[in-house]
Amino acid sequence: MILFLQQLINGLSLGAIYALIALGYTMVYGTLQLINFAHGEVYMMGAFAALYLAKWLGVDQNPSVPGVIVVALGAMVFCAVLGMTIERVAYRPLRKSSRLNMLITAIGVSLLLQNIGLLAFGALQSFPSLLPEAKWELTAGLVLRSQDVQIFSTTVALMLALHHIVERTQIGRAMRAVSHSRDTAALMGIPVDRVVSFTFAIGSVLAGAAALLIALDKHKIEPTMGSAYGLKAFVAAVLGGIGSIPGAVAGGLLLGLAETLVSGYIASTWRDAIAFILLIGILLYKPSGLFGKHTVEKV
Amino acid sequence: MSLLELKKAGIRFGGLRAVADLDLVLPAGALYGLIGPNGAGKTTIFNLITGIYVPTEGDILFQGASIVGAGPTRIAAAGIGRTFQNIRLFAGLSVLDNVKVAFHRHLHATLFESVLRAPRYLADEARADAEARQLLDTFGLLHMAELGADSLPYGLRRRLEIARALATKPKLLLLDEPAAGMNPSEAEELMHLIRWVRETFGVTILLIEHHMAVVMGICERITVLDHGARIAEGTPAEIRKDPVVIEAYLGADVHAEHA
Amino acid sequence: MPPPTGPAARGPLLGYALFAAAIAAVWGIEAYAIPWTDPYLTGIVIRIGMSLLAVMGLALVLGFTGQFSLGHAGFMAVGAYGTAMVVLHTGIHPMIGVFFGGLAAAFAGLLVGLPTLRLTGDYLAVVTLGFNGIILVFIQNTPALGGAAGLTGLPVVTTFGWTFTWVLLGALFIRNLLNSSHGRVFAAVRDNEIALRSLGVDTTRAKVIAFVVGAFWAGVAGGLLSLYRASIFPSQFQFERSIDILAMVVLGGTGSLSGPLLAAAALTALPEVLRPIADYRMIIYSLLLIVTMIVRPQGLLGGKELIDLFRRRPAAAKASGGKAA
Repeated sequence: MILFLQQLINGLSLGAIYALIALGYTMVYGTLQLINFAHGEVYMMGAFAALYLAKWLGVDQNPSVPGVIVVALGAMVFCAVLGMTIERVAYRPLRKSSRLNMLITAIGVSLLLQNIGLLAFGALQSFPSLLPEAKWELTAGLVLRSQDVQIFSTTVALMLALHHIVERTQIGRAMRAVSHSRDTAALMGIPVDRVVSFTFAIGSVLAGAAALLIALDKHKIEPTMGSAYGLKAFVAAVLGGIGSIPGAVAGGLLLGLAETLVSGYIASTWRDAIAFILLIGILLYKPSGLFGKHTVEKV
Repeated sequence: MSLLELKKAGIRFGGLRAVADLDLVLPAGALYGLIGPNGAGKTTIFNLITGIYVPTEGDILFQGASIVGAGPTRIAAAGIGRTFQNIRLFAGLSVLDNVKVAFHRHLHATLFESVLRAPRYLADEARADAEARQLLDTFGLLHMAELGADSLPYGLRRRLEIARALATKPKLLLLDEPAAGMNPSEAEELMHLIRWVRETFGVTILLIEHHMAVVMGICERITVLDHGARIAEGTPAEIRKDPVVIEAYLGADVHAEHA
Repeated sequence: MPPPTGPAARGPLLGYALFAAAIAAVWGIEAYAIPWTDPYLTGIVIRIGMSLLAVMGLALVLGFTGQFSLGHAGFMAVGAYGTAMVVLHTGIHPMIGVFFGGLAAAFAGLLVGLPTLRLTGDYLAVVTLGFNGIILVFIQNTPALGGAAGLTGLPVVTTFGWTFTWVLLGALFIRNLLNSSHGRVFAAVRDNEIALRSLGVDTTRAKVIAFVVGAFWAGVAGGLLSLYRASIFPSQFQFERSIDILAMVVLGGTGSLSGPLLAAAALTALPEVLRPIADYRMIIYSLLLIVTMIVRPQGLLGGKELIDLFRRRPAAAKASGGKAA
């Protein structure tokens, strides 16, 4: 039982990270019907941006809450700018082109960033603690770490903020309109380009936050973390229903839990396969995902 | 037995009832029309008939048998052909190939026979080629057989789409706004074409149109739709005078030409 | 009724004669030229041959049928390990082993394609990516397949002769497939699947056929690879490899067969020439992909075949008659 609860904590922790990244995929897909392969790399770049910013500001020598907040904001802003730039330079010119072309460009950008990362950052780099860490032994064998608390609280806060933006602000309404029908939204005077940029920005911000959280959790980052986490987060988004925001959250949590439980109870070598097995499963039984809307193609 | 019958057919998209409680009877050999303001649900009905959407209520019968849930491919194979609001040609294929594709269903040769160019494959190809060319000839398109389908002028593309739909020898032909974007003389030509198609190919035709001259000019009976429901049904003369119809169209963009 | 004209009437005999001549030429080269050639060069040519086999399958699936298949290396892996198993554990001729590798890959294609191809395109992209990943995890966790350390002790049988025999077979198969009723259907699926269904054509079946054929030839490529350097490793079939093949198809031009084949030859030979900047290979690739998509999305040959460049009359579906009003 204790083992199960521990797995639960670990699983939700991992799942929260997946959820944050998955949100970026799902929102971009909802708006542009594009699988933004580069999103994982934005996440990866965010981690390295956080690392260099922390070092430059000296937060790694003097951990503190204000320091962490500055690093966090810095990483998130960096990601937002990177995400928006990618959209502007690589995707926008192809909006009138076929979806295959946009997909290939996305793959291209993803590869470019990853390989630039490999050249620039080398391989693994360790990430320092920017906050004092603690462990609380809830009962014998059941440990809750401060990082877990950070992850949960940050994720919840960000999701509440996202919910507020999407449901209760004008830009959020515009985002929903554009994801319903880009042409209609344009005809109604919605500045589609700006809404798309904003969508990329928000998704990237969440990815930046996720990157810092994971960096503080595992204390290591590497240029390939984008493809590792990115693909799984995308699978999570598909699980929950690609294009659906609650779906991304549900999918992320579900995947995190599934991976951790399989790793704990079966074998850790199959951990990576779980994502894809779940994916095949959902595609066979409910392709639109857990929360998916049945998108009707206009004939 | 009527060729096509919709019995209280309807479909819901989430909270929206796009088509509700629709009755429609189409006898064999008829030329009927379906009109209504934009968003009334006309193309949705075509999509219901051809199996792209599945009705959430009611039934659709083709030649007496229900076709609900049969899927677009089987329904098309059963004898229902259609054209689309935005002309859907195969842009990467030639005019001839656009029609030849329709004969794939009648391929007797297996995949390996095709690849190896076995005699059975060559015979299939020759037959498809001949029939496709003959069809193009009947439609006056044969001289353009080798051209890319997307290089045709608009009016001829419409014609090619109709020719292609007829390649499958359907019993029912659904035409979705065939006169869209046409000037009065082109529309006049189209009216002749549609009447001629009915006579030459023996198909029953149901057409959606906004172009009133065309509808009033060739349709034997017209069903009028508004907000997914039937608001009137009758001959052109009856429909033209129907106050309910006139009201539904008030404020809508109507090509009110005297037919 | 006008008499039938065109390729169908000419009969296949000329084609078969040319094919036989080409095979003879290949074996002539193998017997008389290869022994005198620098093995390094022969190696490059053989590797080009294997790339050609992998690319032609993806050109069919992605370029002609428009299916977003992103895990082609996964099928190569199935072919490679399938061939390896057959060759290591039976006394069958290695080339029959390669054929079985192709069949295994084709079967994998069927398993992956059947449930997925009835869904919209993006799902296939994700599933094929996932398949590429799962296959590697499976191989890495199966001791009988050598695990992550790889499988060794394989015979070295892949010669220029065998490689290019397969290349010719593959090219003939796919070219004839594309120039048949099936080929028209593939192009129609890519152009307008809904319209094709309205003509009563089973589009899912067509997509699965293309997918399975593509997987078969990837499997053959993998099989030849397994018999090339006496060993194979899962790392040879990672996503990076899938992207290599994808880049060749895209840069060569979707809708063309010779374009991707040219690109495959160029991109396989290039790393040898550009050895000093091997570290930057992937960066150059990715930039090439991005720039091509933005500046010349139709790729090198723009969807035309190499032979069309020599014809004055433009190829039938690419007529630039101009869109008249």
